[in-house]
Amino acid sequence: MTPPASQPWQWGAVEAATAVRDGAVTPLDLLESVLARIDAVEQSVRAFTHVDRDGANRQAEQLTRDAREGTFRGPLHGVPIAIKDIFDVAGLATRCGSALFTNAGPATADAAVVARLRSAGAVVVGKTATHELACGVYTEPARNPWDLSLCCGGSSGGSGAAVAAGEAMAATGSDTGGSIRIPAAVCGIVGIKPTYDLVSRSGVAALSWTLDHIGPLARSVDDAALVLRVMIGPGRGNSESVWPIPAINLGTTTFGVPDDPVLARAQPSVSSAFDDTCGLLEDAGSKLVNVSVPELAETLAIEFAIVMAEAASYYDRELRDRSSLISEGIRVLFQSGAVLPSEDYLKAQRLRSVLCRALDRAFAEHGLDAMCTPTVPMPAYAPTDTHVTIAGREEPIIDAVVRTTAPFNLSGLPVVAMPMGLTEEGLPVSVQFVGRAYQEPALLAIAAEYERLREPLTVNDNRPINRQSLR
Amino acid sequence: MSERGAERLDGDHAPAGQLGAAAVRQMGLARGLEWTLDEAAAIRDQLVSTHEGLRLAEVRIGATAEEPASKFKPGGEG
Repeated sequence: MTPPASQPWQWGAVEAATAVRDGAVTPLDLLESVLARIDAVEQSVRAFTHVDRDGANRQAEQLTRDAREGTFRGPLHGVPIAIKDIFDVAGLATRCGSALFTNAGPATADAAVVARLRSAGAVVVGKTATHELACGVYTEPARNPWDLSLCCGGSSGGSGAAVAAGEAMAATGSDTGGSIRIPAAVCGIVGIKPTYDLVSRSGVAALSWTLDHIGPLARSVDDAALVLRVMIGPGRGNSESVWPIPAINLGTTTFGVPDDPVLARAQPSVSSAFDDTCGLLEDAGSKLVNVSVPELAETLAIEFAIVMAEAASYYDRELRDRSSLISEGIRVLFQSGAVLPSEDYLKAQRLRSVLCRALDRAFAEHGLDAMCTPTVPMPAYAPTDTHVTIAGREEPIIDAVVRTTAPFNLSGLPVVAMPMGLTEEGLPVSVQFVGRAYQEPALLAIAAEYERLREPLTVNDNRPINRQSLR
Repeated sequence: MSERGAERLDGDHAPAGQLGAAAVRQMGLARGLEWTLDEAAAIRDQLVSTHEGLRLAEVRIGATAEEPASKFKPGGEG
């Protein structure tokens, strides 16, 4: 394959790995290009908490030697990736965006997922910013490459910004109530929240262990699927069927479109793009059926009760000894979790079971292959925005973006969030496809087909970060 | 928190909505967590709001004692 006539930092992970394997470029070439891109834009984007130039260069040099000898470690040989700063990377501190861990020493081992990525040949470029303790949707000081005055979402905001700005070809994220999908949505990229427990959480700081999911962010479905396959690891689940993505005929696919306000209530720019998406799917022959899952209206109460109790347990020592180092809003949430009556926690888990069964029932009754719904009900927001008005109703931004994403943390069902268009202001909006448990191959096939159908995102040349050349 | 739970903690038969900040502070102290009264008041508000949200959810969608709550498994029971 002849590499495309563009800069390597603009390539996707699959394209870059193929170019390395074909001898068109070396891992050092890829890294050099990505580091040059970081030099060019990172001062504005601030996606990284640490760029590990030395470590990345050492990896790339070894991988370049390996490639020259015809040895390829795996499907990501030489691909530069970024790691959210709640994942342990050997030799680097894991600070979780928190003053609690300002003086943390270097991790002694890689998180399981990081080890898998390295084993597959990925080059770890650095650690990306996270909202404090992976519990929030702003991720200061990172910014949105589409509009530097806006947020990149959260909590995996640094990963979203880095990938969208071309500072990494893919990145890791975690998703407890939308933290992969929210940044993917507002940064105009693809994020996958796989089925609960499909990807190891070992070596990753927890927020709420029955809701935490680990997954990739990338610029295309194909790239995200490849990274997901590596993250799952061999012999686990359907990992071998995740990538290459299987073919699917959208003409025989049935989508459920929830009409419950908790998922459907969105700003006009999002609703309009979602209508277009539904139209595209129908034009492709898909069957779309309206479904109602009223239980989803209880999502926020259940989600936050579980998060506060489990986070309080995980951060028990910190709450005793150093709670003043946690921001007030998060601290109160966790402190409340420390004294939340067990009956309330159990009630939340019971209600969660009700919600899970309601979703299962909707899939079964309508013979759904997937559900589709806007990922979040609005485009990117400003760091100072605390509330948003949607369909005449004001709500806190965190509630607005979590109410559409958290139902699938509670249910554990796999989700692909991906761009579905741009607003008139040129900001990305996103659709999420929700699959059946452990059916990632079929879900990714649907997402890949949809990606082929829709027009690629384009933006003006005069944006602060010129993304037009990114594909 | 249920009214019964609030009685146990407050000792004055206070309904959940009136659970006092001082009582919440005592609950924290019992766990080795020291809070100011202001902090305790914010925690109380969060507890009350959480409890009320769950109570309403239970009324609307139901969750009986028989509902499994101990083990989460996607795509299946529990």
